[in-house]
Amino acid sequence: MESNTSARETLAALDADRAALAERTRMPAWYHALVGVTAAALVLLGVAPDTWTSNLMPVVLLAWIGLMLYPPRRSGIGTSSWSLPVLLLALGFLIALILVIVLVNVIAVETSLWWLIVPALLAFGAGWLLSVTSERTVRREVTRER
Amino acid sequence: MSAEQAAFDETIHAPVRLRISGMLRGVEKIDFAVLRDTIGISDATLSKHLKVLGDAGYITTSKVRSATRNDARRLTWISQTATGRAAFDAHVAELRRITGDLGGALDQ
Repeated sequence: MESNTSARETLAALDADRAALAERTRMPAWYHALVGVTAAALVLLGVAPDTWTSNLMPVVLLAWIGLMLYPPRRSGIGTSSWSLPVLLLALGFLIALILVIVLVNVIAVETSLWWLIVPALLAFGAGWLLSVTSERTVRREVTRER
Repeated sequence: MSAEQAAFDETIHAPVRLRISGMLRGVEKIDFAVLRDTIGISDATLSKHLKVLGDAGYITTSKVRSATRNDARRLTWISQTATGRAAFDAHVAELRRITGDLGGALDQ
C-alpha cells in the first residue's frame, strides 16, 4: 500500500506524463503559418480573374484539407473526441471562406485587386487561429481525465 | 473524474504500468514507439508490461501498416479497454483517497 507522500508523488508523475504526451502534439509555428497561407491563397485564387489561377483552387483546397487531417506532430497519438470539434470548426471555417470568396467576387468586381489583400489577411489570421485552436483542443484532450 | 469506486489494483500499481495506463487514459490509442519514448524505457521492457496489462484485459493492441514507411514494419497501436479504464480510475481514486485529495489532482 502507498503512503500519503508516495501517493502524491505517483499522482504528480501521472500529471507529468500527460503533460509530456501533450507536449508531443504541439505544432511548430510554420505549420500554423502554412494553414494560414493556404487559407489566404484560397481567397485570392477564388477571386482571381485568370482561369489558370482559379484552376489551382482545388489543389490548394486539397493541400489545406491534408494539412488539417495530417498535422506533422500528431502521428502516433490517436484521440477520440478531437475529431468532432475540430472537424466542425474546420467545416465552419470552410463555409465562412466560401462566403468571403462569394462576397469579394460580388463587391470587388469593379474595384482594385489590391483591395483583396484585406480578406486574404483575414483568411490568413483565421486559418492560423483555427490551427492553434485545433492544437489546443488536442492537448486539452490528452491532459484531461475522462 | 467519474464517481467510481476507489480500489487499489496490483496490476496497475507497478510504476511503469501505472504510467502506461495514465497515458492511455487520455487518448483513444497510442503508438508503441511514442509510448516507449515518452516513458523512456526499452522495447523489451515496454512489451513485458504491455503483456501483463493485456493479460489482465486492460489493453488491446493492433498492428497496422505505416503510411510513412516503405518497409514491411507495422505500427503497433495500443488502446485501453473499458475494463482497463475502470481499473485505472478506481486505482487513481484510491490514490486520491490516500492523499485526501478528492477534488482530482489530474483534472485540468
